[in-house]
Amino acid sequence: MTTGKTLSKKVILIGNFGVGKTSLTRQFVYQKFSDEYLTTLGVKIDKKVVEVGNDLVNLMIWDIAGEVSQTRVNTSYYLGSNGIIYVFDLSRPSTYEHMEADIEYVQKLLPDVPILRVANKADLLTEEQIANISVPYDFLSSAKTSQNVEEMFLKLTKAMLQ
Amino acid sequence: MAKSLYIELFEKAHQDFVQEAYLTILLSEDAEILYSNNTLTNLEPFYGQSIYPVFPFLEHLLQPNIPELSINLLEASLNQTNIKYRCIIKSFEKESETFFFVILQNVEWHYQELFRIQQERNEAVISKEMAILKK
Repeated sequence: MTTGKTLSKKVILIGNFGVGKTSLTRQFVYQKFSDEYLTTLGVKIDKKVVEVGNDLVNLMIWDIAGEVSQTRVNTSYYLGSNGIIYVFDLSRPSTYEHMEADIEYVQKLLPDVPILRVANKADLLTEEQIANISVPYDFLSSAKTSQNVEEMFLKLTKAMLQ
Repeated sequence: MAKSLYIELFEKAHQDFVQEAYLTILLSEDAEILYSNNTLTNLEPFYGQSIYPVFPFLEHLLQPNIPELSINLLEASLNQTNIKYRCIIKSFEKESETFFFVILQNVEWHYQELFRIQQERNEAVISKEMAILKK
């Protein structure tokens, strides 16, 4: 039982379509995974309570429909965001080619909001193939194997509390 | 057909296709439920209480400085069922007090139609990309 505060934080997952944003959320919230690709329309909202020290954090997770560029996303979705997870698919270079431009655009809308770059679908590549990808990322993840899924959300939650 | 029958038809259609598909809620500046048309869910037992336990996503959307906000497709849970909404929030002042008027439209039918189109488009783009990478 915690004795601290209860806080509410909004996390948005952004990135190209088909990179695994919904699968990462589903793995984190429900500990489930499916190989079937189902596109997200608009925004899908889930909630999970995370314990950080003595505090409880209600994470409102906004899984935003993937777009080739973040400039095409309705800016209302970003409103009140406290943390950002930018997801790309390691097996599709097109999903990380414009990552820095996308992040720059979002950071202008949400200055001072912590952001994580997540390289997803690590299970599809060999260690050697991953080593050859030169884009920077904070977490190498797999929604399928749950690699780093809890860790990334926890790291972002802690960053949002600072 | 007599005019009275048109009116009857209109009222029935309005009830079935408009009124039943829209949940409208009047909120105070502190997100307290003041009044609702109570479609989609009955909010009457929660009058005077916060809207956030019912619709937690509103917590990050109610902004008094934004007169109108619209989210065209939002999927969220209501009474453990996932529902697809169009969400419109209007904020206004009356006698120096701020209020929010929230409109949640059930767009399940619209979602199914859009989903089919978007799914096909995304699958085609991804398949094409993967085929090029395999060459």
